[in-house]
Amino acid sequence: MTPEQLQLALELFEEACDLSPHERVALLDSRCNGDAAVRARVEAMLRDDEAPSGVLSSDARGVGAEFLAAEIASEHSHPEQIGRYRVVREVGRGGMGVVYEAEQDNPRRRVALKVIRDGFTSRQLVRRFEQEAHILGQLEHPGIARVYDAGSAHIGNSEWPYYAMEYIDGPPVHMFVHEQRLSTREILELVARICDAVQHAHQRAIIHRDLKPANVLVIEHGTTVATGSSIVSDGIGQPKVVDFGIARATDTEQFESIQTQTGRSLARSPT
Amino acid sequence: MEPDRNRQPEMPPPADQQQATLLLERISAGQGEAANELLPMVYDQLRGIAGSYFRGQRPDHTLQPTALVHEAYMKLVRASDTDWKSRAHFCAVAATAMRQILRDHVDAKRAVKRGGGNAKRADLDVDQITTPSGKDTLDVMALEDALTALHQASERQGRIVELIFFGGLEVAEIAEVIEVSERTVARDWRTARAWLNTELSGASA
Repeated sequence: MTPEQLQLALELFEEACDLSPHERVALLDSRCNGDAAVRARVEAMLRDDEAPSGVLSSDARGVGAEFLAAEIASEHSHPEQIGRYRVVREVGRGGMGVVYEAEQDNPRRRVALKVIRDGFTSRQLVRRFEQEAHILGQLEHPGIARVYDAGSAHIGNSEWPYYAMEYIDGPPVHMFVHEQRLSTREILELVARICDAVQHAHQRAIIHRDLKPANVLVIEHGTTVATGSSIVSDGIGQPKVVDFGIARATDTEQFESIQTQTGRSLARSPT
Repeated sequence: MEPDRNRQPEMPPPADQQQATLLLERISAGQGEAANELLPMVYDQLRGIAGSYFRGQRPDHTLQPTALVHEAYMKLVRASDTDWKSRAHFCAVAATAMRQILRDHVDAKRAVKRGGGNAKRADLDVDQITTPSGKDTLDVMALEDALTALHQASERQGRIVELIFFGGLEVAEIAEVIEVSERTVARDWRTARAWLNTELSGASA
């Protein structure tokens, strides 16, 4: 229905409300301009008006609020436990999945759990995730968020692959630069640190494939991290590249060929 | 999907409360533009409250109609401020916020669907959900589209539906908020309800 048709339907309904059945027919005959859709709609509206049957049948006050709250709440629902991790809260959500903050008991640490809720729940995918995590787990650099583990979680009736990564409590790099009002020199230094991290991976034949500001988080000056590997004493901050290689791990079409290549190159000792 | 920093709007600091109360006073005094400033505060608050229901922070996981708005009101506005008119104005802002949440929610859903490509999506987000009181099921996207269409055809009717549906306002309160007679509100609602019912039931497409 076009906006014009809708407008006409609303108008005619209002007028028809006060009329007798006979007069209603006459009104619709003269005013619908032969538009059967408008006429059918007004008639349906009048029927509904006499005996409301739709979602807004009874007291509609606050129904939308109630409904929306349930919808939002279902978005926020999360399993209490995923694998060996206790889920604390949801920290991010995108087209591909959900990121949770979670805790592990042994070793005791905070992790970011990235659960891929993408529909590929085959054994094959889960296996691939485990392989990827193994490869990515070898990336050890203060500028790269560590991948600890991969597995699959039962959520509802499905099995969802997940990664457990080092939890980074910091803003994305573009926000960090803005908030801290870094000078050009400091920004360049920060970029150099990001380059060091990326270089480290490239030397091990691992490419990120989705490098963007949102995937570079920065730990502010003086913050200690769980791994204890880096305490930065200047005000520039320690960048942490996250989601290394994950774009590829979830890319089904390209995966098979690349996986063999990567596997081969990683069989060598790192240069 | 970067982890964001913990910005839970659970307990707004007193400064926020003062500001919200002041803004509400301005709205009640006829300065409608103050609603634009209050809106983001209410939006955050509503999202936070709704989220907490499912994070196991509540003993019971049900929401009574308008309980959400009421809770946001109690948290954002000084408790001593119980004037029914300002409460109505608050609910009106909350209704706008919820409409915005619905729109954002639907946008996000559509983005996920578009991004699908040849990927088979799991039926994780149920488009059809049942309201907690078990009344009926509503299709989120159909509802959003219907509200948008109604708003285009008749801005006032669209607004009235928002105020009733999301804000939980009574006819008298709506008349106060949008400054028309109660008779007009009742008439508009009757028309809007009939149209939405036929539109959402798909009976006369």
